[in-house]
Amino acid sequence: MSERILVVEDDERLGQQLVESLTGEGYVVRWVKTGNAALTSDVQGVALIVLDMMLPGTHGLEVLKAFRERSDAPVLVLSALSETHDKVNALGLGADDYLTKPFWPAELLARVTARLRRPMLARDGFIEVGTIRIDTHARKCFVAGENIELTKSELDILLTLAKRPEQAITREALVERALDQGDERTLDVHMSRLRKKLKAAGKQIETVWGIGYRLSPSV
Amino acid sequence: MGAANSALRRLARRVRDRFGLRSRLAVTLAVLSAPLAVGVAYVEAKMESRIFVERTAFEITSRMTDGERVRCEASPSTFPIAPTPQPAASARADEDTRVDEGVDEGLPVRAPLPPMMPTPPFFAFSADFVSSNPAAPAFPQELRDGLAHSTFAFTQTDNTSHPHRLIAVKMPWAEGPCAIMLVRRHLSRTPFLAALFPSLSVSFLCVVITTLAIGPTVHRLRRLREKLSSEHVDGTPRDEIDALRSALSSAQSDAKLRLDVLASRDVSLRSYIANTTHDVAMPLSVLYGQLSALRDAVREPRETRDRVDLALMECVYLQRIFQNLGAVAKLETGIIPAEFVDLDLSDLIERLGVRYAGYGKLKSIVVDAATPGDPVRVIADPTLIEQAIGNLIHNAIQYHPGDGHVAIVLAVHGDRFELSVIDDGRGMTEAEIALAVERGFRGDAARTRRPEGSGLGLAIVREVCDQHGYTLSFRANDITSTPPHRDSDPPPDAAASAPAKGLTVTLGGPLAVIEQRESD
Repeated sequence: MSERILVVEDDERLGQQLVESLTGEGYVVRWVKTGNAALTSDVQGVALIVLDMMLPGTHGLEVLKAFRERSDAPVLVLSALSETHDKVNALGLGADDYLTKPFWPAELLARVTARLRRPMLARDGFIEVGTIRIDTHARKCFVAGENIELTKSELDILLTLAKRPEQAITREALVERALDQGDERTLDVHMSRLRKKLKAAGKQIETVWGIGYRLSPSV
Repeated sequence: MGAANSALRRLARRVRDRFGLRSRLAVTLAVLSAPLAVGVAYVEAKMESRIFVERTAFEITSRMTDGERVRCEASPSTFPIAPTPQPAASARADEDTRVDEGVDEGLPVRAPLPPMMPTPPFFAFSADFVSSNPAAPAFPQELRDGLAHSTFAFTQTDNTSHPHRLIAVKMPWAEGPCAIMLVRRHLSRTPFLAALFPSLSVSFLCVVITTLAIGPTVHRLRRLREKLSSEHVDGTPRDEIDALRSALSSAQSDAKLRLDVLASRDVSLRSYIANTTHDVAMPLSVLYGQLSALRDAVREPRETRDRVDLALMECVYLQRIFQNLGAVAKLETGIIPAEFVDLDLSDLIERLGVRYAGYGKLKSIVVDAATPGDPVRVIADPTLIEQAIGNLIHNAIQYHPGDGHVAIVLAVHGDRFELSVIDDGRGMTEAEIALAVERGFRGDAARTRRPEGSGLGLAIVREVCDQHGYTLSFRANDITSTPPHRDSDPPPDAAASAPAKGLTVTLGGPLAVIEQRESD
């Protein structure tokens, strides 16, 4: 089921834009344009609230306080006020995130996704990223149900990447966390072998320029 | 009483208006010291009287004890105390006689008593205050009362044409007609008047010295007042202190007025900044959104897409200029003071990575960010730090020719963090690196491409680093632009393997103390 997002924004053009971009990502969006309308909105079942601070009628902070009393849904504040005390005030009153205008549309979508993302961490001792599935207790790796024999170092490298999917990890960090001994050159060798063993799934391991590697759920 | 008070007040006001500070000070000192001098003289006179009486009583008692008692009791009605013999030959003879007598009788040797004044009226009384001398005055009751508690008593009469003292001395014996001796001493002048003149003289000298000493101070006050009130003509200066107070009050009013104007201007400016920020931010947000949607919708022709990309880049540049100007206002004018709070740099870098990934796409530059995974906590102003790091990333993209990479790497080393922005663009020469942080400096490459830029970005980065105690360094990098070799990949060609130009800008600083404790 698609998640529901409440957008509180008084500007017609920006509000329309927000609705379109969020709807395009598969969210169900309800849009209100005033603070009073926001205060009387039903927030039951709302997964996230996007709240503009400069609202006609009621100030955004008042709306934020009211939301915090009625709902645990994360609140992402949009504001043209970029000063530290504005952010501190909003976060102190219960906002979960603060995005300053003007903002890149992709950034808003990324923040919404991050707030609504379910942790892809160990569930019953398994981590799944794309087609790769790792049994953390038995220390086994499966690709599309097939067991893949990996060395200790290779499995540790893959686990380190899998615990932070879609996030780039530096070579230095991988050496430190996944290898008992060796350096970055050793890491490169292990990585090369790991990719080969994973076959098509090996393309989920992306090289990140200037940084190191990243495990992506898609090929 | 009321009339007298008001008359005194009118007089005081007239004196105050008529005379300057020094004159008033002199008069005040004189008025205050005169009663003091009178009091001192009075006390001195009293003490002098007391001492004189005690001395007289002692002398009388000594003489009577020494032998005059016999003569007195032999003839109480006519007894005076004979004047003491002069210290010439006769004194020596007497001394010899007394010495002889002393040696014979075993009595101690005494020096001859000093000569007294011409014999005062001296009367012998019995213990019940009766005198055999017909010329003796009535024994005053006051003296009788005094002798009840002491061996001597006296009264003093100052307010007659013949001021005198009456001194009564009780002898060690109570019987006989010479148990009490009464002597009347004439006073040439009252002791009080005798003491008053020196006391008043000292008081007068003090007034004169003080008045002279305060002269230079009053002169300096006058000059200070003239300096302060040169633009504020006070039509009624009363004295130096009053005029100075008036001048200081005027200066204070002026200063307060200016502060009020500045505060009002500050409020207006903040309001203007907030309103302008909102008024600029809103259309820019809409522009971003519309142009992004247009870019996604328009693939062909290429030229149209390029135009859309250019428009988006100009939006980004406009936003950066706008935000940099805000940072300058914060850093240089103090209108909006920096606020240092606990900040997670990991979260900030992840957000900036997403933000600038979109900008990088316009120039086919891949922007990636890496953090340690755990929070990296620092004490910093979030707005300034975001602006500074944003400037570094923006510059890496802006001055990159395109089709390349920008990496943002946050790492922790001990109790410090290190943030690197690495690109494989055209880089900077050593000379340009050395000048990189000067306000207004822009490298040649940047200048050619965007001559209208102001060069604020790097200068703001340096200022923010200074405020936070961070280090900032620039290094031409030597990392390759090719990924690590994979067995499945074709062997890398020489060009791809060659070290690329580019720049690594590194910003470093201390972690928050809380973070250190958790690590410990």
